[in-house]
Amino acid sequence: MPYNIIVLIKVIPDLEQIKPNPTTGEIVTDRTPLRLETLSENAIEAAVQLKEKYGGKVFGLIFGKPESAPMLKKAFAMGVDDGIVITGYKGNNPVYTAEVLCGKIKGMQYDLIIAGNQSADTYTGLLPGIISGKLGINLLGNALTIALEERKIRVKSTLEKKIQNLNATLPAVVSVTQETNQPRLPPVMQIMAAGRKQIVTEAAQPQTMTGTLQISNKAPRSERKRQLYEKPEEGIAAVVRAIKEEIR
Amino acid sequence: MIYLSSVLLLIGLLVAVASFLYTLYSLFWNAVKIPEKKIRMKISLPRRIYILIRNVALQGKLFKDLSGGIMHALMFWGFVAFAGYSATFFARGIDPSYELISPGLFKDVIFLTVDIFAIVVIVDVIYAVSRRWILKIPRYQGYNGFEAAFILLLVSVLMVTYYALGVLRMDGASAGIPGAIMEGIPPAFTPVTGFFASLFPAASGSGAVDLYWVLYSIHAIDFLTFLVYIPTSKHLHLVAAPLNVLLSKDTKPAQLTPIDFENQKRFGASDIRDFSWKDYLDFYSCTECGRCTYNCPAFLTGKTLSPRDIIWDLREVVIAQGSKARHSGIEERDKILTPVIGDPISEEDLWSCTTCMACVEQCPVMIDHVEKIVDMRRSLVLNQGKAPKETIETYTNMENYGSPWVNDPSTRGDWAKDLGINILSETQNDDFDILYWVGCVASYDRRNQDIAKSIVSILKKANVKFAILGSEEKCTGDPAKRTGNEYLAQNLATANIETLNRHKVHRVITGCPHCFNSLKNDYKAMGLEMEVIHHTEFINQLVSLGKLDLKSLESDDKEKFTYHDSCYLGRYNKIYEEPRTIIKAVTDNYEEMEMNKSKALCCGAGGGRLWMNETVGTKISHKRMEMADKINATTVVTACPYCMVMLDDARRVMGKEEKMHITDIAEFVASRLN
Amino acid sequence: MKTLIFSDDGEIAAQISSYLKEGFENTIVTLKGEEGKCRRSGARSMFIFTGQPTASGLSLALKKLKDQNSADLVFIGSTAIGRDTAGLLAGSGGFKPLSEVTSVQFSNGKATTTRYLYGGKSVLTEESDSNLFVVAPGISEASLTENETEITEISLDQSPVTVEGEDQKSTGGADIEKAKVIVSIGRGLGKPDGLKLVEQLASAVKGEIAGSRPVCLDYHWLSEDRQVGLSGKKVRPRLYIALGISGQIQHIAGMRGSRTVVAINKDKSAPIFEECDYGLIGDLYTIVPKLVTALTS
Repeated sequence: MPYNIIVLIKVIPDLEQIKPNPTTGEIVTDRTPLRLETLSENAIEAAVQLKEKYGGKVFGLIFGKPESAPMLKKAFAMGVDDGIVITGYKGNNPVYTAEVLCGKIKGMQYDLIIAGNQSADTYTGLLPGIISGKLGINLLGNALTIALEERKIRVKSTLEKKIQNLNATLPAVVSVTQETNQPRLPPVMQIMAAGRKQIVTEAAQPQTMTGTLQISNKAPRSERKRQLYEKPEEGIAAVVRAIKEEIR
Repeated sequence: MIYLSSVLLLIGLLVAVASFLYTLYSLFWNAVKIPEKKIRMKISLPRRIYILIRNVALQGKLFKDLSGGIMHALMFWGFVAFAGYSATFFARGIDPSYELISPGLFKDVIFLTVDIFAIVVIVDVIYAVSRRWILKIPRYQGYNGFEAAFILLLVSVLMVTYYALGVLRMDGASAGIPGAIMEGIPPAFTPVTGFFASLFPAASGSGAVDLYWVLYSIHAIDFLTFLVYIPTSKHLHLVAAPLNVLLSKDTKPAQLTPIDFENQKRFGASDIRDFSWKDYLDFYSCTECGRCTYNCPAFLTGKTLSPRDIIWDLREVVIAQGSKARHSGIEERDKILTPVIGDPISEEDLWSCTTCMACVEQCPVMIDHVEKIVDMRRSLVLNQGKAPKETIETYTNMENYGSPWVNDPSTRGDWAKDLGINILSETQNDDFDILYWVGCVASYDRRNQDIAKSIVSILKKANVKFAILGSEEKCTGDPAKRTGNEYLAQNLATANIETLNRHKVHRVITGCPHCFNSLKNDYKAMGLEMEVIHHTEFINQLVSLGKLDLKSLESDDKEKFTYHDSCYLGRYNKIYEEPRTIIKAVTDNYEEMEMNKSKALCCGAGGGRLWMNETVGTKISHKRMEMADKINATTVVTACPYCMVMLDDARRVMGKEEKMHITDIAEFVASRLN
Repeated sequence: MKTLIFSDDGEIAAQISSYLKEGFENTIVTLKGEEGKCRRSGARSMFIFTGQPTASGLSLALKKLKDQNSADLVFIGSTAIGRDTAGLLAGSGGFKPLSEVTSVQFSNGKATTTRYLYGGKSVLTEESDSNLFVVAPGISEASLTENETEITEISLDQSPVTVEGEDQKSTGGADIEKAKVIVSIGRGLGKPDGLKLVEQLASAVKGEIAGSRPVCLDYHWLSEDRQVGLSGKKVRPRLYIALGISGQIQHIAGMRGSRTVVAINKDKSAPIFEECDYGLIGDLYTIVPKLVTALTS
């Protein structure tokens, strides 16, 4: 049977191109190029694969900035049917993000919500749970495989030491990992068709965010230190200190 | 009897010619009607005629394999000579009073040529037989032995009966027989026949006449069989190859046909309609000689890719599906034309190609294997989104970072920060004469940065006013283009062309043959007019103008240098001599490896292979380093960053670090500047 | 303050409990079979869950425990199931979560926390009134006391998500992509025998062993799944120790994301020294034993 799938797509500043302000050490990402978060690509791939297998529609939801719009086109190219960009993302606050997303989702028809399990920029990993909690629907996290049958969902969930076979009923939230699939390279026809699609944007509701106060956001250190010791004995102490620091 | 034989011969000839022409019509009309790929050909007629004379009449490309070339050329020339004889044979056989060529010295000379070449062909057939079945030349093995044997049999019977008829004629057995075409030729002009006649006692009487009739019939039937057989076998090349050479895209490798994404519906080649009429002519011209495959770096190192099989497999699909598809409607055609990728052509083979052009270079009939392979890659990438995992990653990187690797583009010019040169992304100072296009490898790879620095020091020494683009430079798109991602390649090219125009660049020097080829040929096809020079050309100019004073190092005496040709410099752009001239200007201790210049073995990195795994067979780069080791080279000079990465790695993995160095021509020169 | 600490990984729970020593009254919770270190981590009370854990089941049970113990703060170890559990708690109300914290201090009712952002490229320091903290593994060493805490077993509530069997993950294959510490070897190791020395170093730093392409694909000293590089795995450990690796661009592409890179190579001009924080130029066979001694003493 066909399913309506919502895929949550995250747009992040490209981590490779993030640099600290050389004088203050503060991280500024305003002008860093954006990209699709890798796990969102896995989520899109999973959603599109389910659509191809069972039929239905995939709706892409981006909570970001107006500049995130091209990333929705990328999702369209990969096989997402429809979508929207909600603008007004104010930095990492999973509770607020979930609030905005759930506000939108509540007005929609859906069977399944798919998201990445942990995004590469903030690494919180809380969003799938918060959304599941807020919507009061089942959470099946860290899915390696997803199978649907009528109103039932079965997922192989990968934990640190074992893989659980989870069962639940729809609707549900599923989070995927990088091992779940290999995101596709979209065919050019679809890239071009996606390019011609209109992107709908709307402002986030609610607009105010409460919570944490950011005190500082600094690079732990700048570039590679490149402390070279031509007489290795002289460097051993420093190296041991650095190693101990990292394996603490 | 005479009347009957004339009629039979006429009927036989009509049937054979009709069959010959119908088969050809069918094949060539398929080539006109089925292909949808449009190509542009821009070569002048004089140039075409030159190519035709060189490669057909003079059999030029065949001599790249000397013994095979001699064998084929003798056979070819023999047949050309024999054509005059055969025409006369049939003309006279049908109308005994008809003189196709008026008697006289001209005719005598033609027959003298025939008489000599016929024996040459017989000896040549024996040689051909021994190559295939006694010497067992590898490239022939397993390919259509029956066809070859049958053709060789027809040829030898044709030649033997020619002499037998001549001998009998001298004995007078041919009196009144229509095909006795050599009457009137002075014996001095048929010396070989005369020699054979002297070996046998003169035959006479009705027995001789009967024998003459028998041989006459065999000779005629042999020829007609040959005529019928040609278009249905690999000997179709007798017709197709000269045409293919005449209509070829010149001896320089053709640029890949661009895709018009706005107006085209099908991208790349999925089934036989996605090729061009010229591709069909390529298929028809293939003789399965195997020169391509036995020069293919992938094949030579144990991969299953065989350019010959690619062409031959496609030809078989064209022959199997062509006529049916031509006679059917569009919807039916979709069912008849099955995808060629998967079966018969495996995806793995398509990805094994380094686009090194060794196959194209070798092909005597000027088939372009590489464009077809890239067209099929295009089909995989652009229609199905299929490519090796690592290749897909390089696409993502090229999109995000303008480099096949994960590199922060803002750091692209960092290697040059302390060199005091004009970095355009920082200065926006367009006051320069020449742009040094660094390329991704030299920008980001530590080893290759040394080469970039050497180029800078040479440019400085020669007082050239130059600049680099810094973070405004992006990958030229070569790795995307050669792996079939034309869409990404065009996007990158468009961005770079915009940048180059903005800085009003008219002259570019680059150290990377892949960038060089893109900028010079691919970008030109997109409308960018500028002079593009590779650093080997540039340095060679400087040296020959005396602007660089080179000294030899003391260590040079203990070294043995060799030069490894880059495919994109050599076969793609015909730059073979410049680097050699530079090296030899400094040292006499130079020796060529086997497989050099136009026959050079690829390093294994082209065609996007630098970013793929090479797991089957031995590594191409290792094979190349073995060749360097064989001549005890101590320094391999390269002129390509891809080659540098591959060979340097091979050298280390093979444990030859101590013994062998790899240096770029720019480093070679920079370290010897006075 | 009263805290409730949970992790399905007993080691992490013990680490958190050890970290929250002064001024905290800890209740520690883990799964049955994971209680080992937790018992001696100085917690006031201790519970273990029995039955198949799911995030939904765990969140319901933890909510109940928090209320029963009137805990002010909840700490959850950052594991796959831990993050999901924390998310569910935060989503169903009553919690203000903060994730992946690497340190936390309380004063005036506010929590000051730090965490890594952008794949370790920045450290975020924040002040909040959060009461649910997902704690990154390794916040401190699990320091053990003599006293063992009493254990109460609790059966996990029925969960709307049910577990129908589980598979053990194959332990044979190395998971270097997730490793926090990697000791990576290159061709410069010279001989497969050298692996013994490498193993000593790896065990001293609790790291996985990985290698460059020649070592994995050409010489087969290591299995292919341990190959770091463009055509192998991309790794982002906290610590990457490169032994006898020259650092070709294809290799750098696979380890550039590492936080701290230590390189040992006898070739002074090896490109790896451009990509490292600490570089020791010399023979790894003399340097590594000294490192091992210094690290284990």
